[in-house]
Amino acid sequence: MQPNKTKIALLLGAVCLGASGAANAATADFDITVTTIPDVALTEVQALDYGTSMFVTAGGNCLMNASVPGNAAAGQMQYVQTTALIPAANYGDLTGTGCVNGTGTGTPGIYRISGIPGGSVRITISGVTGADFSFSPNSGCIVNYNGDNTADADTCTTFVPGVVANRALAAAAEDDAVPLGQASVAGQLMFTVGGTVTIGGADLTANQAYTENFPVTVIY
Amino acid sequence: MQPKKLKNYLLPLAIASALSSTSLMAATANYSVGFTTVPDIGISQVQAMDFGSGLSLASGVACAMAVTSVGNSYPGDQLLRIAGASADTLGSEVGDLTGAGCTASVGSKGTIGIYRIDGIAGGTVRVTVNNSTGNADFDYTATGCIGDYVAGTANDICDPVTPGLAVDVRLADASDTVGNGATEGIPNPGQTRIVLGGSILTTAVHTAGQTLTESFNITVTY
Repeated sequence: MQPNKTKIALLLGAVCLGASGAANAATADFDITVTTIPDVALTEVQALDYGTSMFVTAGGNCLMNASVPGNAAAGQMQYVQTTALIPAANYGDLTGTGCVNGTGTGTPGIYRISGIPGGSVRITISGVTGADFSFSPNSGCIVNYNGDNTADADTCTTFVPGVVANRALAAAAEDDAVPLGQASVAGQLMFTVGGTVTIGGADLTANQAYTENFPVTVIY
Repeated sequence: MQPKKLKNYLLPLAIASALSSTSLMAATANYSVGFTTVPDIGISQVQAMDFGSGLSLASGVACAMAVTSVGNSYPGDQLLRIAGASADTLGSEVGDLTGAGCTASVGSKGTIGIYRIDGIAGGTVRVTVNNSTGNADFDYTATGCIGDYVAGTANDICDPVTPGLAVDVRLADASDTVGNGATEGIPNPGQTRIVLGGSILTTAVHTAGQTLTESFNITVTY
């Protein structure tokens, strides 16, 4: 029985048509990946505390010195200079008409900023006026990294309350080897805050705790 | 070629989105700033002052009781609870009564006044000891001294009292309790002591066997 030539031709044609259709068009989806920078975060390492020191009289003021925190304490300021700096003798001292003046009787606040290593941040540390007292963070410093790990020339420099301070977070290669001080941590930046407490218009109550909150803002 | 065009559009959009979001990333936190106000100042009597028995009945006569900040009439570091540069012991003449008004008690000892101040440890307080005048029975003029602590060392002193004039003294803190010698005082953080004698001057004729009492004032502020 002879093959049906017409059927064979149709079959071959269909096969060829199908093959040519696969080669003429293709559609596929592919992933594109990008990661945004990590959130900038603020952490309190040590709370700012004037201790049991304030008198009760309206209008009294008390300045806590927080200018030179040093870099020797682990987990605190995390910057490196040519020598390991102990805190200045007057770090934490209280002076003024409104408090018991003393050596190291106050506890300056210490705070950590975390974000992308080497990233620039704008930091604003502001005061507060509360019902019982006001606070101006007019003493303290923010670490200022020099950007490499060769010169050991990081510093901790002052800021102005309510005014933006520009700094960079520690880079990956920032002074993390053999520190003369405490090694930096990539992506972190430390600052310390003291300042002036001024009692408001009314006398306070003796032997009583008072607290206000002051804002800190950090922006990439 | 539609798929290829689609990919070309998506990539710039993703990058643009990432770049624009960086300028908006911020963190704001509120941190506490706090303190505790100092405790009220307390002043209490440890030992009442007593010029003894034997005061003259006459008006206008004086009887003195010896208390000084140094020397033989100094009550001593242990009583003051301070640690001086050297061991200052109880003077042999502390409390001695002298004067024409001490008719029957001259040569004996009275009881010196001892007073305690309580406040914030390490704080400085301003102390004023005042005379007592214009009284019905007798007037009083104060002498004595106030313990004044030097932090961390054994150089505490007893500041002399000048009636009516303020004296700034530092209360003891924990650093004052370290290393004091056996013959020196044991400070209590947040405290200091005042020791007083002085003289009384009778302002009236009195009757025999009468107990006379007047008051005087000590003012202490931060």
